[in-house]
Amino acid sequence: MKTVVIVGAGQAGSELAVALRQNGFSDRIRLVGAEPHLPYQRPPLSKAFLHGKADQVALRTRAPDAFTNAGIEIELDTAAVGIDRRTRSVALADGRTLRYDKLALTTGGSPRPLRFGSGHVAGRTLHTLDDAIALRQELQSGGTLLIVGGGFIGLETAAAAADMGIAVTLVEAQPRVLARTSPPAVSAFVEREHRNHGVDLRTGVSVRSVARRDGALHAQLSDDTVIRADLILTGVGIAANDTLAATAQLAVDDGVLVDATARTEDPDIVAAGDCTRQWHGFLGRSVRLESVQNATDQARTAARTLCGKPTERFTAPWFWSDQYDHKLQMAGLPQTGDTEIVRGDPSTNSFSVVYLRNGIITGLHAVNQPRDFTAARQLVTARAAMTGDEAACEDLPLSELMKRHQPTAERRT
Amino acid sequence: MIRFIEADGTPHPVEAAVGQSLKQAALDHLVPGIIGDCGGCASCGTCHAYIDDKHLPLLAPADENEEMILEGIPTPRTANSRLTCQIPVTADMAGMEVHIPDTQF
Repeated sequence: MKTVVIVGAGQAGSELAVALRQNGFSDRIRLVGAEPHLPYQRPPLSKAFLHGKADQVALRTRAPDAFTNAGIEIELDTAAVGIDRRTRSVALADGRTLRYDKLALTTGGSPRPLRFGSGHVAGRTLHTLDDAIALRQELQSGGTLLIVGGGFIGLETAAAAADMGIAVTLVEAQPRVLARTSPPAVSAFVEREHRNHGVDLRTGVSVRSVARRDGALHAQLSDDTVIRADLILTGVGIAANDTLAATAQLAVDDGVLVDATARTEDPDIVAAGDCTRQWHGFLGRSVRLESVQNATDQARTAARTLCGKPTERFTAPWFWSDQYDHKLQMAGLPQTGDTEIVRGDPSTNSFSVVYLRNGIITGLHAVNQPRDFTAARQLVTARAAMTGDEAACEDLPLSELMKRHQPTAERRT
Repeated sequence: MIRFIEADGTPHPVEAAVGQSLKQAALDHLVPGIIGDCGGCASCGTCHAYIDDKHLPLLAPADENEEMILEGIPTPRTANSRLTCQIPVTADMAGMEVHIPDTQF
């Protein structure tokens, strides 16, 4: 009997285990996770869960029975500390070793730590279920919240906290929020909505130091103002958990290096999700993607590879965010220099930004425009041609353009 | 008992719990072809399926957001197209057939 060991019981690990069964793998599957919880979905942590609209059961990727019935052995609270590729075994923190025939690394990422000055006060982060449970409890007891970082985690948390009646200050060092991921029109909309909901949003300013006194935190900002808060949350991105791979002499470069079939340089080891830097079949370049869509999609790719039927990836990445009652959705991965075309009126609550490069759509950011988003996903995947006028014309549904551009990119099987 | 049927005709009879979503019932029984990346908040459109004619009238109609997501799905959209994450399982769904498209994105 052959054994597949999967290290990391997040969404990628969960999906990989299930996909092995769906692809006919009938031998032993052992899924080990460092956290005490069964595999759960991370995106709702900073959205519905924090808000109290979703409970822990709703977060589960699959019912506990689903794993049991599929013969997937799960060991929680079990950290892996080493890989011996010669003996094909994984060393666990509790002293045991697990033998494998094939190994999958789905170790995810960790929030980048941020320390403020010499005060040694570290901000909290929101990445795990336990983080979210603790944060939710604190928010329910009131107080004031300072969020450092105007990315998706910071902004979603700000929205949930503001909705709960918490006084929120959010500082972002860049001149606008979502500077790394979104066009200026989307940033401006998001900033406006947060201010409308009472968030004290400050851009172009960073935290210089934090001191704890009189039972509260006092953050001194780079513009010399001081913010008093009961709690500080930092959301400044995540780093790939690639140390286990690196110490096993697998190639890493800000992520475990894998090809378009999720294979590492060791033919017996695959990797998927936030811990990887992959050669992306659709984008034609090496990228590290932090998204649940990538985690589950790459996990299914990895499972097919382990089952001896490797397939390359040809879909456009996508991502979404919920803030207040607004839905932000993104398709594709535009690059610097792509032309941005606004579609609709950004002063309303519903518009999109289309990215074009050499007359081909490379991405789209939708604000309360799910219709544009789903159509764009197909158009980007098909590398559809489009003029700037077509992109800007609100009266021309993008789904109409879809009919004109039947997908030419090879579909996965 | 709800029957999920893959695009190639493979049936998956599932004992779904009343109250859970049709999407979660499929996921919990390892039915291939229903993905649901967004977790069920009608953001991604990867849990699309076709509901049989007999049971379709039992369902609450799709809201505006679901309608808009369905406009952009990669497989043909029909009057029977729904996002399974938006459909709570009810007792009168016994015997319902849910046909899964050949791709979700």
